Amino acid sequence: MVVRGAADVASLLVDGRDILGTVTQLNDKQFALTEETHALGDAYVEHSFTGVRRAEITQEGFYDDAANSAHAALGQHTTGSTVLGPGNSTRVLTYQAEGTATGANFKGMTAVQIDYAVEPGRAVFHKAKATYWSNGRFDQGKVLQTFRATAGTSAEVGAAVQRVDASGGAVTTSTTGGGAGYFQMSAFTSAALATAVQSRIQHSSDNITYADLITFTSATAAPFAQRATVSGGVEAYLRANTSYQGGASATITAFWGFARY
Amino acid sequence: MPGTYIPGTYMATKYRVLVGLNFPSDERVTRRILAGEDVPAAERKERRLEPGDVVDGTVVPARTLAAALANGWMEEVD
Repeated sequence: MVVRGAADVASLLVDGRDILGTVTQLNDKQFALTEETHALGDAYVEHSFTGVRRAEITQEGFYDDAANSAHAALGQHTTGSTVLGPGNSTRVLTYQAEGTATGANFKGMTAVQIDYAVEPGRAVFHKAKATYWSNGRFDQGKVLQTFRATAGTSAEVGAAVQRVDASGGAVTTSTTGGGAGYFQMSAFTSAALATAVQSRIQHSSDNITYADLITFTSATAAPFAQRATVSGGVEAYLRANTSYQGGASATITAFWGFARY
Repeated sequence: MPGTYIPGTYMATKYRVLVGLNFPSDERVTRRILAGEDVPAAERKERRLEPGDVVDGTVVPARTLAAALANGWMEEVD
């Protein structure tokens, strides 16, 4: 048995914003939607699974109005024509509950933010809460690169993550159902006139030749986040890969993950 | 045969890259990986090919060429 605790929560990212340091409690629930199927003549209530699932994540913690922190991420405001806060149905949310290791599990989803509550109180720090519902599939996948600052070299290449079977044994065969990739970037500092980050997830059948599986939208600023899906074959080895456009190098603080279907 | 050398008439077959590719440019690195060594990313000395690049067999190691053609990541150019 592997017991996990608060120290194992390595990141909580919402639309590229790192809000882990403001959160004291996460509640991650998954629901199977059912309908009552008993009929006249039945003496007891019966339920049947409709085949539809929903995920819900709620967070509780401290109110924080620092730049790009929880209030900026979750409070109701607009950036240009984009409405942030409750009602935003394209939030990209990921969190790592099982440590920082490459290949550890993470969870993620495109989410609808349902609410945001700020709770000032007497003789206490202000608190804040938020709720998200899944807007599509809820993913559990493997961390390709834990949330951290990169080394600032010209081409960041992540370590390989080999596919494992249900018992945790490494396998070399591919999967055929596609999957979803996540890229979240909270900071981007150009060191040599780099103007954009080109982030990818690559796959390989032999850990030698890697092909682009997902090419994320080129990011010119942080915060940035994207969930992208692919169909078809996904080879046994996966990794993160990044290059910089317009300059030789930059430093980014980012997370990559991929969930196989 | 791709890249076949015919004395006096060397005509390397060309290949178009369809999907961005990375591979070790040093055969010694490939051998270390094949031997089961977990080679750190910084030591892989990778070369990258972008979609649309046209290359011949002198640019791409045979192992990568075979994998890329088998997976549809490259195609032979007439």
